[in-house]
Amino acid sequence: MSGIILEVRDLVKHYPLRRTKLLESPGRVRALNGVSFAIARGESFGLVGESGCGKTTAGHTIIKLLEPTDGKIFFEGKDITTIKGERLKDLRRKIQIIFQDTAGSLNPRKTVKWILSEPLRAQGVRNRLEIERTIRESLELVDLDESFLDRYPHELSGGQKQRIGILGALILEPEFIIADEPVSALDVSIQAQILNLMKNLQKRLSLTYLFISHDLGVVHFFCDRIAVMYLGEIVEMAEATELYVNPCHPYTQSLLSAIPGENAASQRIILQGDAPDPTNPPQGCPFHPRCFKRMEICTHTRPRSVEVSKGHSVGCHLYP
Amino acid sequence: MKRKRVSLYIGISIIASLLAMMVVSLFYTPYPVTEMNRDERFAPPSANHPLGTDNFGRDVLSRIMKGSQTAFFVGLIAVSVGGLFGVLVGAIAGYFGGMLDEFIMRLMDAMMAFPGILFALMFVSIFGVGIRNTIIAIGIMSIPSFARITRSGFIQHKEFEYVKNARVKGVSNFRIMFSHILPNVLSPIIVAASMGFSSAVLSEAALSYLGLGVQPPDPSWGRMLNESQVFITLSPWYTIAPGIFITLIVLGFNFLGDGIADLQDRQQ
Amino acid sequence: MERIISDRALLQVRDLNISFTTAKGDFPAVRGISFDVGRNSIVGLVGESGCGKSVTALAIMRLLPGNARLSGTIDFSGRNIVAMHEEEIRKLRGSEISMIFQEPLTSLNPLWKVGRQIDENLKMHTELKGDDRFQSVVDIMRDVGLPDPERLYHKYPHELSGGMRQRIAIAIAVACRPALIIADEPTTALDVTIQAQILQLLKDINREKGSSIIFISHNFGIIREICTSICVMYAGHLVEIAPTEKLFCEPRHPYTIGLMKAIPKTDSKGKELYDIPGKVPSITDTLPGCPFEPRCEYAFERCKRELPQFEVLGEQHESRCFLAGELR
Repeated sequence: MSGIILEVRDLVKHYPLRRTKLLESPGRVRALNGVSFAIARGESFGLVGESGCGKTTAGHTIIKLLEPTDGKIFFEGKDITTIKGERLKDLRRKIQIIFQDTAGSLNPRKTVKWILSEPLRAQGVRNRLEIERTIRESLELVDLDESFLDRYPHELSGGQKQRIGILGALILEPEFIIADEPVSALDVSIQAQILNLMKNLQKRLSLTYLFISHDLGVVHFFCDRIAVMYLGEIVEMAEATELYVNPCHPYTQSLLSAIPGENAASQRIILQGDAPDPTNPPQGCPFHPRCFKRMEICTHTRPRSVEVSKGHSVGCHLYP
Repeated sequence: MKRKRVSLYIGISIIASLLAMMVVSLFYTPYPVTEMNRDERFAPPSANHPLGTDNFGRDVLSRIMKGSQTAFFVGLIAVSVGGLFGVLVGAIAGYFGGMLDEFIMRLMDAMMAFPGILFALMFVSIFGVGIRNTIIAIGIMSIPSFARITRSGFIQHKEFEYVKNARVKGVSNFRIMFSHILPNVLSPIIVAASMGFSSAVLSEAALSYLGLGVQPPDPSWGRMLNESQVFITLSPWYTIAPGIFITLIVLGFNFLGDGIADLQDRQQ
Repeated sequence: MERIISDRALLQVRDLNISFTTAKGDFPAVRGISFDVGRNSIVGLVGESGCGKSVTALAIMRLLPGNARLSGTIDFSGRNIVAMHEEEIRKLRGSEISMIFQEPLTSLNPLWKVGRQIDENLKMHTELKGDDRFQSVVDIMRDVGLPDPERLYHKYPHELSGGMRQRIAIAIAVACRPALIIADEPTTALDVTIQAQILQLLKDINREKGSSIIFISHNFGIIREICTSICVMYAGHLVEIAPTEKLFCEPRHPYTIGLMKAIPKTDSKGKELYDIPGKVPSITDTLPGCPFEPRCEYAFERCKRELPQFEVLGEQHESRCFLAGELR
């Protein structure tokens, strides 16, 4: 590994809810409650968790679509938490994002060519010929040809749309890519194509990925290291294989056992209760109301994250 | 399926024929519009005067034709003024949100709460009677409806991922608003423009009827209605003719707007 | 074509064709599929988007839009659903066959209390009245694992979580003890841990109440989890039918084999995933031969011209491929 490219320290993001009663202060959605991790150059780092756990908020905060409530973000050693204007524009060349909603992330009224040239224009490339050449040369990266340039998004299949989405992110030649559920809307056979493509691009262009997904199977396949999130916190972080072989946190254990088709039904841990509500997180350990190994201490004290082995940390009172 | 297109076709044919009449009137009218003929006052429809003549013996058909120029001119300019400012203000309110949105939309509410005709009356009495001020007043009156429609489209679309995608690429707010989002929210605005056109024509007729719009001797359908009402028992066709044309143009644009809206519904 | 037909089958679909008539012509969505659903079984219909699995489900419920044309037979306990009168099918729906949809938020009426929505089904199809009916609704809600049903009865759908809403949808579906439940991607909109709960619930319903289930999904993991046998669909055709474990251990159609290899598994880490080249044919494409031929690595000349028949490979295991016997 050749040094840290991105580091996030104690990231907090709370959204105010809409005011519904005049005299009561509106509640807040606690999407991120102190998330810290560091990603090394060239690796694929996975953020996994269920809906509402804050994984997408984390991605959007890092790419500055959202302002963090608290905490710091460092990119290549520099604090980017509050940068604006020209420096932010420069940062856009280095960090890019691939969105989940393949159809929604492409403007339905524009051609593929327009969509691909827009990032270049936004970054100040004025020369039409240069834009044209860059696009034509880069199409090969995602295995598409020039016949796609004059099409509109609705004329493309799901896999082709996601290829255009990926190319839109790559065209500025970034170093760091946030992939927010890039394959969850795709069919199985297309999902494999896109995952392979992203892996190959990583090798060719020496990219670093932050890979956000709810699908542990896909994350395990794609990522070197994985952080498991629950209610705005990272509950466990480890190398992918280590996490798979030796999951420590009860939540990770239940997630792994819930992957359909991978385990015998007898080993399945089925969690009780509903998906958690980030407007009203419980006291103590956020997971304790659904935990099957709950102890008395969990109901009132928030566990600290401890390292159980090298590079494997877990936030659970079972590991004091 | 087919049935829905009917209103579009009706709208297009009415507007197209009125438009053709307007174009012809630029070069040719059966009689000069201001030519009076004492011997032929209140003539009923005949081969020489298909719609009869008025109290000065002027040819009503010629004046109706000339009047269509006023109607289209007023509609076009008023809708452009209203549309331009309405879309601008609505886009800003919807895209940026927050306090700015609150302020702009309360202002729009206030404008909407104020009776349109009353506003136009005030405007015209302050800045002077005349076609120019009439058009401006009508245009200002139509700003809030454009602003509302544009704002709701922007509020919906600014959360779409293609907008986030553009922001992440470093595209400026101005460009995101007018190059990325606007083309996607244009359809309801076009419908509103079509409906706005008909209400602008109607407002002009109303103001001219009250004597505040187009000034004599220029012909305007509202003005003609005003002048003819005294003679309604003597010469009913003189009143009926401008009435029919006002109804036609308003109906035409409403049908057109309806038709476009149906067409868009089906495309989605 | 020799088919394995168990006489005890609850539902027998034979040579079902469904096409949609549009302004641009007729498009076949389902092309001559035949399968059985035995009593007390869970049959999976699996395939990628556009393969015709949902259309098949809607055909069994006779819920297809007006421009759909179907031929073939759907025999449900000796009655042919395709030929039924509207009145007959209405009595069948909700009482003997019921359906669970993917998105519970849109399949429930947002303006009705959830209890009333379950109640409605009992009102339509049973003689129960007043307090008895209320009591049955509460019992059903408890059966599907909803806590504190007396209180939940008076909630509106938007006040419940996604998992609870899907339980309500299931409660509506099982209210009249149907012989057959059609579940169309019932867990796709849910989180993994909630999905596990719902799958367990459906298995319990199948075991305890004896309802057969047709389970439609694009996710092989889920299908493996819950089904007793599986029908794999591709571009409107059925390509392989097998008991669950048989299909996963010895898939005998190139499409099934490819899909199995394309799913990331524990042991695929660090390797390139197998990907099936190309994309699913569009509904407008006409292929005289095997629908999978353009993407198939085993394809040969004959596949282009001729649609293979089903080859019987073992008990209830059939594959529609010329090479079915040789593929390993």
